[in-house]
Amino acid sequence: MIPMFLSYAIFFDPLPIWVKPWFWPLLLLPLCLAVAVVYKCVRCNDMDSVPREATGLFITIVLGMAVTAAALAGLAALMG
Amino acid sequence: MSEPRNSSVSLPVVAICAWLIPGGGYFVIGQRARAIVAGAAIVALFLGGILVGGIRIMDPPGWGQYGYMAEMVQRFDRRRQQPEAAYTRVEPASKDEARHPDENDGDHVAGPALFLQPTTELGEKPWYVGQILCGPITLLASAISVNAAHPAAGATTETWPSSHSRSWEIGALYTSVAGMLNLLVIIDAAHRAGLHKQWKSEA
Repeated sequence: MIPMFLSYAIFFDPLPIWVKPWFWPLLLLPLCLAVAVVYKCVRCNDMDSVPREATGLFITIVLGMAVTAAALAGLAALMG
Repeated sequence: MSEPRNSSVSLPVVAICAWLIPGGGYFVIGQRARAIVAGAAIVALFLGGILVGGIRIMDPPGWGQYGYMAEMVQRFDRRRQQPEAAYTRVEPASKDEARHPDENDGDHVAGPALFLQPTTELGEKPWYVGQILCGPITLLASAISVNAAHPAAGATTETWPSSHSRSWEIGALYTSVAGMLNLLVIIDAAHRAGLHKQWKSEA
Protein backbone atom coordinates (compact mmCIF):
# COMPACT_ATOMS: atom_id res chain seq x y z
CA MET A 1 0.00 0.00 0.00
CA ILE A 2 2.88 2.39 0.76
CA PRO A 3 4.25 2.48 -2.82
CA MET A 4 0.71 3.20 -4.08
CA PHE A 5 0.45 6.26 -1.84
CA LEU A 6 3.93 7.43 -2.74
CA SER A 7 3.04 7.50 -6.42
CA TYR A 8 -0.34 9.11 -5.82
CA ALA A 9 -0.86 12.41 -7.67
CA ILE A 10 -3.72 14.42 -6.23
CA PHE A 11 -6.43 15.39 -8.75
CA PHE A 12 -4.84 13.14 -11.40
CA ASP A 13 -5.16 9.74 -9.77
CA PRO A 14 -8.51 8.73 -8.35
CA LEU A 15 -8.71 8.92 -4.57
CA PRO A 16 -7.87 5.42 -3.22
CA ILE A 17 -11.16 5.14 -1.40
CA TRP A 18 -11.62 1.47 -2.20
CA VAL A 19 -9.10 0.47 0.49
CA LYS A 20 -11.74 1.01 3.18
CA PRO A 21 -15.20 -0.35 2.29
CA TRP A 22 -16.93 1.78 4.93
CA PHE A 23 -15.76 4.93 3.16
CA TRP A 24 -18.18 4.64 0.22
CA PRO A 25 -21.36 5.78 2.03
CA LEU A 26 -19.50 8.80 3.43
CA LEU A 27 -19.17 10.17 -0.11
CA LEU A 28 -22.88 10.93 0.13
CA LEU A 29 -22.20 13.67 2.69
CA PRO A 30 -20.36 16.27 0.53
CA LEU A 31 -22.98 15.88 -2.19
CA CYS A 32 -25.86 16.38 0.25
CA LEU A 33 -24.09 19.33 1.86
CA ALA A 34 -23.52 21.10 -1.46
CA VAL A 35 -27.12 20.51 -2.55
CA ALA A 36 -28.44 21.80 0.78
CA VAL A 37 -26.25 24.93 0.78
CA VAL A 38 -26.93 25.89 -2.84
CA TYR A 39 -30.65 25.16 -2.56
CA LYS A 40 -30.98 27.31 0.54
CA CYS A 41 -28.92 30.08 -1.08
CA VAL A 42 -31.52 30.12 -3.83
CA ARG A 43 -34.55 29.85 -1.57
CA CYS A 44 -33.70 32.12 1.36
CA ASN A 45 -34.06 35.87 0.93
CA ASP A 46 -32.05 36.51 4.07
CA MET A 47 -28.52 35.07 3.86
CA ASP A 48 -28.24 35.05 7.67
CA SER A 49 -30.73 32.19 7.81
CA VAL A 50 -28.86 30.05 5.25
CA PRO A 51 -26.52 28.21 7.71
CA ARG A 52 -29.41 27.11 9.94
CA GLU A 53 -31.73 26.24 7.06
CA ALA A 54 -29.00 24.40 5.13
CA THR A 55 -28.04 22.38 8.20
CA GLY A 56 -31.64 21.34 8.67
CA LEU A 57 -31.99 20.35 5.04
CA PHE A 58 -28.66 18.48 5.12
CA ILE A 59 -29.76 16.43 8.14
CA THR A 60 -33.14 15.77 6.53
CA ILE A 61 -31.56 14.52 3.29
CA VAL A 62 -29.05 12.28 5.10
CA LEU A 63 -31.70 10.84 7.42
CA GLY A 64 -34.03 10.31 4.47
CA MET A 65 -31.29 8.46 2.60
CA ALA A 66 -30.48 6.36 5.67
CA VAL A 67 -34.12 5.43 6.24
CA THR A 68 -34.56 4.58 2.54
CA ALA A 69 -31.39 2.46 2.58
CA ALA A 70 -32.54 0.65 5.73
CA ALA A 71 -35.99 0.01 4.24
CA LEU A 72 -34.49 -1.32 1.01
CA ALA A 73 -32.02 -3.49 2.94
CA GLY A 74 -34.90 -4.87 5.00
CA LEU A 75 -36.94 -5.56 1.88
CA ALA A 76 -33.98 -7.30 0.24
CA ALA A 77 -33.46 -9.42 3.37
CA LEU A 78 -37.15 -10.39 3.41
CA MET A 79 -37.10 -11.36 -0.26
CA GLY A 80 -33.71 -13.05 -0.11
CA MET B 1 -29.01 40.98 6.36
CA SER B 2 -30.54 42.76 3.40
CA GLU B 3 -28.19 42.92 0.44
CA PRO B 4 -27.87 45.82 -1.98
CA ARG B 5 -28.97 45.15 -5.52
CA ASN B 6 -27.56 46.59 -8.68
CA SER B 7 -30.34 47.23 -11.19
CA SER B 8 -28.15 48.43 -14.04
CA VAL B 9 -27.19 44.93 -15.21
CA SER B 10 -29.25 43.27 -17.92
CA LEU B 11 -30.56 39.71 -17.63
CA PRO B 12 -28.34 38.19 -20.34
CA VAL B 13 -25.24 39.73 -18.73
CA VAL B 14 -26.27 38.30 -15.36
CA ALA B 15 -26.84 34.86 -16.90
CA ILE B 16 -23.52 34.93 -18.77
CA CYS B 17 -21.60 36.07 -15.67
CA ALA B 18 -23.34 33.34 -13.66
CA TRP B 19 -22.17 30.72 -16.17
CA LEU B 20 -18.64 32.12 -16.47
CA ILE B 21 -18.00 32.02 -12.73
CA PRO B 22 -20.29 30.04 -10.39
CA GLY B 23 -22.00 32.66 -8.24
CA GLY B 24 -20.95 35.46 -10.59
CA GLY B 25 -24.57 36.28 -11.44
CA TYR B 26 -25.33 37.14 -7.82
CA PHE B 27 -22.13 39.13 -7.62
CA VAL B 28 -23.02 41.46 -10.49
CA ILE B 29 -26.46 42.19 -9.03
CA GLY B 30 -24.80 43.11 -5.74
CA GLN B 31 -25.62 40.00 -3.66
CA ARG B 32 -22.04 39.21 -2.72
CA ALA B 33 -22.63 36.95 0.29
CA ARG B 34 -24.96 34.78 -1.76
CA ALA B 35 -22.44 34.76 -4.61
CA ILE B 36 -19.56 33.62 -2.41
CA VAL B 37 -21.50 30.90 -0.57
CA ALA B 38 -23.19 29.43 -3.66
CA GLY B 39 -20.07 29.74 -5.82
CA ALA B 40 -17.82 28.16 -3.21
CA ALA B 41 -20.21 25.24 -2.72
CA ILE B 42 -20.45 24.58 -6.47
CA VAL B 43 -16.70 24.86 -7.12
CA ALA B 44 -15.92 22.70 -4.06
CA LEU B 45 -18.29 20.00 -5.29
CA PHE B 46 -16.80 20.16 -8.77
CA LEU B 47 -13.22 19.88 -7.44
CA GLY B 48 -14.37 17.15 -5.05
CA GLY B 49 -15.53 15.14 -8.06
CA ILE B 50 -12.14 15.49 -9.72
CA LEU B 51 -10.45 14.60 -6.43
CA VAL B 52 -12.49 11.39 -6.08
CA GLY B 53 -12.40 10.25 -9.69
CA GLY B 54 -9.20 11.83 -11.00
CA ILE B 55 -8.92 14.41 -13.75
CA ARG B 56 -9.83 11.83 -16.42
CA ILE B 57 -13.48 11.89 -15.36
CA MET B 58 -13.60 14.97 -17.57
CA ASP B 59 -14.28 13.18 -20.81
CA PRO B 60 -15.43 15.69 -23.44
CA PRO B 61 -17.58 14.46 -26.32
CA GLY B 62 -15.64 14.12 -29.56
CA TRP B 63 -12.38 13.12 -27.94
CA GLY B 64 -11.16 9.55 -27.77
CA GLN B 65 -9.58 7.44 -25.06
CA TYR B 66 -6.09 8.76 -25.80
CA GLY B 67 -7.06 12.43 -25.80
CA TYR B 68 -7.16 13.03 -29.56
CA MET B 69 -10.21 14.16 -31.51
CA ALA B 70 -12.16 11.28 -33.01
CA GLU B 71 -12.45 11.52 -36.81
CA MET B 72 -15.01 10.17 -39.25
CA VAL B 73 -13.24 8.26 -42.01
CA GLN B 74 -14.70 6.84 -45.20
CA ARG B 75 -12.76 3.65 -45.88
CA PHE B 76 -11.88 2.58 -49.39
CA ASP B 77 -13.13 -0.95 -50.15
CA ARG B 78 -10.27 -2.49 -52.16
CA ARG B 79 -12.25 -5.57 -53.16
CA ARG B 80 -15.03 -3.52 -54.75
CA GLN B 81 -12.70 -0.66 -55.66
CA GLN B 82 -15.06 1.95 -54.26
CA PRO B 83 -15.51 3.88 -51.03
CA GLU B 84 -17.64 2.24 -48.34
CA ALA B 85 -21.06 3.78 -47.89
CA ALA B 86 -20.81 4.11 -44.09
CA TYR B 87 -18.31 6.27 -42.27
CA THR B 88 -16.15 4.77 -39.54
CA ARG B 89 -15.35 6.53 -36.29
CA VAL B 90 -11.60 6.48 -35.72
CA GLU B 91 -10.00 7.29 -32.35
CA PRO B 92 -6.31 8.13 -32.89
CA ALA B 93 -3.98 6.58 -30.34
CA SER B 94 -0.94 8.75 -31.02
CA LYS B 95 0.01 12.15 -32.37
CA ASP B 96 0.92 10.61 -35.73
CA GLU B 97 -2.43 8.87 -35.99
CA ALA B 98 -4.15 12.11 -35.05
CA ARG B 99 -2.40 13.82 -37.95
CA HIS B 100 -3.20 11.02 -40.40
CA PRO B 101 -6.36 9.15 -39.35
CA ASP B 102 -6.66 7.77 -42.90
CA GLU B 103 -4.80 4.50 -42.44
CA ASN B 104 -4.74 3.36 -46.04
CA ASP B 105 -4.47 5.01 -49.43
CA GLY B 106 -7.88 5.88 -50.73
CA ASP B 107 -9.42 6.45 -47.30
CA HIS B 108 -11.13 9.81 -46.98
CA VAL B 109 -11.17 11.77 -43.73
CA ALA B 110 -14.54 13.51 -43.57
CA GLY B 111 -13.77 15.54 -40.44
CA PRO B 112 -14.03 15.51 -36.66
CA ALA B 113 -16.81 13.30 -35.31
CA LEU B 114 -17.86 16.07 -32.94
CA PHE B 115 -18.81 18.33 -35.85
CA LEU B 116 -20.24 15.67 -38.14
CA GLN B 117 -22.40 13.84 -35.60
CA PRO B 118 -22.62 16.07 -32.52
CA THR B 119 -25.78 14.51 -31.13
CA THR B 120 -24.31 11.01 -31.30
CA GLU B 121 -21.11 12.14 -29.62
CA LEU B 122 -23.01 13.99 -26.90
CA GLY B 123 -25.43 11.08 -26.52
CA GLU B 124 -22.52 8.79 -25.66
CA LYS B 125 -21.39 11.11 -22.86
CA PRO B 126 -24.59 12.76 -21.55
CA TRP B 127 -23.03 13.58 -18.16
CA TYR B 128 -21.01 16.27 -19.94
CA VAL B 129 -24.19 18.31 -20.38
CA GLY B 130 -24.34 18.68 -16.61
CA GLN B 131 -20.61 19.27 -16.29
CA ILE B 132 -20.47 22.05 -18.91
CA LEU B 133 -23.04 24.05 -16.93
CA CYS B 134 -20.23 24.76 -14.46
CA GLY B 135 -18.70 27.11 -17.04
CA PRO B 136 -15.12 27.59 -18.22
CA ILE B 137 -13.78 25.62 -15.26
CA THR B 138 -15.15 22.55 -17.07
CA LEU B 139 -13.40 23.50 -20.30
CA LEU B 140 -10.14 24.03 -18.42
CA ALA B 141 -10.45 20.69 -16.61
CA SER B 142 -11.33 18.99 -19.93
CA ALA B 143 -8.24 20.45 -21.58
CA ILE B 144 -6.06 19.17 -18.73
CA SER B 145 -7.78 15.78 -18.92
CA VAL B 146 -7.26 15.50 -22.68
CA ASN B 147 -3.57 16.36 -22.29
CA ALA B 148 -3.22 13.88 -19.44
CA ALA B 149 -4.67 11.19 -21.69
CA HIS B 150 -1.96 11.50 -24.35
CA PRO B 151 0.43 8.53 -24.24
CA ALA B 152 3.99 9.42 -23.28
CA ALA B 153 6.66 9.13 -25.98
CA GLY B 154 7.14 5.47 -26.85
CA ALA B 155 4.24 4.34 -24.66
CA THR B 156 1.03 2.76 -25.89
CA THR B 157 -1.16 3.56 -22.90
CA GLU B 158 -2.49 6.81 -21.52
CA THR B 159 -0.19 8.80 -19.22
CA TRP B 160 -3.00 9.05 -16.66
CA PRO B 161 -5.53 6.25 -17.15
CA SER B 162 -9.14 7.04 -16.41
CA SER B 163 -10.66 5.67 -13.24
CA HIS B 164 -13.28 2.95 -13.30
CA SER B 165 -16.29 1.67 -11.46
CA ARG B 166 -17.47 3.67 -8.44
CA SER B 167 -14.55 6.11 -8.46
CA TRP B 168 -15.48 7.20 -11.95
CA GLU B 169 -19.22 7.16 -11.27
CA ILE B 170 -18.98 9.24 -8.11
CA GLY B 171 -16.56 11.70 -9.71
CA ALA B 172 -18.84 12.15 -12.71
CA LEU B 173 -21.86 12.45 -10.42
CA TYR B 174 -20.25 15.16 -8.28
CA THR B 175 -19.18 17.24 -11.29
CA SER B 176 -22.52 16.82 -13.08
CA VAL B 177 -24.52 17.73 -9.98
CA ALA B 178 -22.24 20.77 -9.51
CA GLY B 179 -23.18 21.86 -13.03
CA MET B 180 -26.89 21.29 -12.42
CA LEU B 181 -26.69 23.31 -9.21
CA ASN B 182 -24.99 26.08 -11.16
CA LEU B 183 -27.92 26.03 -13.60
CA LEU B 184 -30.24 26.55 -10.63
CA VAL B 185 -28.08 29.48 -9.51
CA ILE B 186 -27.97 30.95 -13.04
CA ILE B 187 -31.77 30.88 -13.27
CA ASP B 188 -32.20 32.34 -9.79
CA ALA B 189 -29.68 35.15 -10.39
CA ALA B 190 -31.40 36.10 -13.65
CA HIS B 191 -34.79 35.89 -11.93
CA ARG B 192 -33.66 38.17 -9.11
CA ALA B 193 -32.19 40.66 -11.60
CA GLY B 194 -35.49 40.62 -13.53
CA LEU B 195 -37.55 41.05 -10.37
CA HIS B 196 -35.60 44.12 -9.40
CA LYS B 197 -36.07 45.63 -12.85
CA GLN B 198 -39.81 44.96 -12.53
CA TRP B 199 -39.98 46.63 -9.11
CA LYS B 200 -38.06 49.60 -10.46
CA SER B 201 -40.37 50.03 -13.47
CA GLU B 202 -43.46 49.77 -11.25
CA ALA B 203 -42.04 52.37 -8.89
